Amino acid sequence: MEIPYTVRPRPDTGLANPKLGIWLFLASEVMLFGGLFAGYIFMRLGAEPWMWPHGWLNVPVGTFNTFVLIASSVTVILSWESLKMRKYKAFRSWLAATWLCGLAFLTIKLSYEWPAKFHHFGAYVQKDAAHKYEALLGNENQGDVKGHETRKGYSRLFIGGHLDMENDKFAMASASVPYVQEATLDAVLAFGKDETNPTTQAALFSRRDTMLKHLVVRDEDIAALKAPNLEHEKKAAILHRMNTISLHAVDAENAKPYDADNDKAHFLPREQILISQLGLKDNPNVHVVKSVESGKDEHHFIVDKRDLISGHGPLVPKLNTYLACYFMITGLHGLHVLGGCIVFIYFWLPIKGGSKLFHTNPQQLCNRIEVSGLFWHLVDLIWIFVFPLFYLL
Amino acid sequence: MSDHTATTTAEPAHAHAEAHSHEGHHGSMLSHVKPYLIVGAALFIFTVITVALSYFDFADYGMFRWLFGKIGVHGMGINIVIGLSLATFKVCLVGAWFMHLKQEGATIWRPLGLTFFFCFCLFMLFLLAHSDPIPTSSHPLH
Repeated sequence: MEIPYTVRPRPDTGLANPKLGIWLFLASEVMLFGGLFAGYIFMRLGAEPWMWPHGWLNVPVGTFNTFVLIASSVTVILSWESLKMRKYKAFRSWLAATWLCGLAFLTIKLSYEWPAKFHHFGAYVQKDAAHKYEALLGNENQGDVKGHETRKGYSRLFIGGHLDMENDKFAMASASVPYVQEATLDAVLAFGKDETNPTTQAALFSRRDTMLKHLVVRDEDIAALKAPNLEHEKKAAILHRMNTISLHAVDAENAKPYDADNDKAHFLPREQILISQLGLKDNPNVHVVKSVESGKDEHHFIVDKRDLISGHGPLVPKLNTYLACYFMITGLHGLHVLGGCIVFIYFWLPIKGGSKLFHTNPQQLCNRIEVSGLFWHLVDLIWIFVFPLFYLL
Repeated sequence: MSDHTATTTAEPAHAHAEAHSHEGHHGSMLSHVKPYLIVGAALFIFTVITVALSYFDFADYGMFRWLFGKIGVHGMGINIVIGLSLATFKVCLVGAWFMHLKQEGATIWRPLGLTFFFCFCLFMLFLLAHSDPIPTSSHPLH
């Protein structure tokens, strides 16, 4: 069945059907993103001062991506204008520039911006325990670099850092395990021990092993816990590993305890010299650990899980409201960019429904580019709001 | 259906006529696309301004505190209002020129107007929280 009025305007509406259709679709899109933005602004304004994350996103990269999207908005309109002037080569070139810009935007998001978050770790410290982590929180330094009083009496309770995923996999995995009481561990270890029926005992031991895997992240620790004559000291050491997170940053750049410019607090640097400079050598929570990989001594900061609010772990949506909104809105926007790129590539390819249509029905192709261009402008328009909301404010 | 049958035969001629009229009346492509290039450049410039202003804490200046205090906006809220106003202006440029809204008629403006109205209501919903505040959580970070 042919779709009516794809080229000429309908007499009653004065518009070709696709154009009216896309505008109604865009209206629904405005409501969709409007709801998400309204929710975000509500939570942003409701946050206590100094509690909302700031400086977590890379502004130069975000600015560059904004430029890329604006450029693509210009190229899509140049493509449409070229088509109206029946300049086939120019139309295809500008359209190629458009979807290349779209793919460049997505590449930056997928290869750098989103994955970078998964290589970071963050933890919220309980107010009562904040004094123990002053070396990481930097609350003693209430002023900014110019010495101005900027914190206005609010205490930073978030510590974060850039982790090396491979070397810190135990710290990352341990973070997702809740605090475990010794009695709980004993109860798990005793599971099935008194069972006399071997078949039932095997089934109960299997359940015990599953429970242990949820509590203990190192295989060697699980094996040690299951040993028949477990020494109390060994169990205590394993319990300590289960209930603490051992933090250290991978690079000196991101390891300043207090970065006033970005309001970032960070883990300890690995370098001995920085530890000395920061006066942290004698801090009771700083432990020297020999690196498995390099054999060198590294400084770790031991964080007790009881001192943390439940939100700790990699910078993923569940960590806080900001990240939940960030991944939700930029992810949905990214899907729109991907959809737009697919449509543009289809119209660009020399196939029947694509650019070949120029030779049989150029006006219909012109309408198609106009309609998909309108969608693309909306994608740009949404980003114009996303950029200041998440990157700048 | 009948429309398409008609257009597949009639359209090429119509399209060519339109193409000729474009070339005849508007001259070179550059003069035709000049407004779009100007709007594109304006969007680049306003992006730079938005980024630059984000490094500026408006709440530190008495004049802004007084001005925005009149409409009940304080602290970081001033930066948010200014940042979003600039974004709205950029969006208007995209809508008016790139999306040709300044040339569209009532058929598009009516449903769009309704959308803007409901969207505005949505954004204003958070004002209800001022008259009926949500009790502060013991853990405001989540």
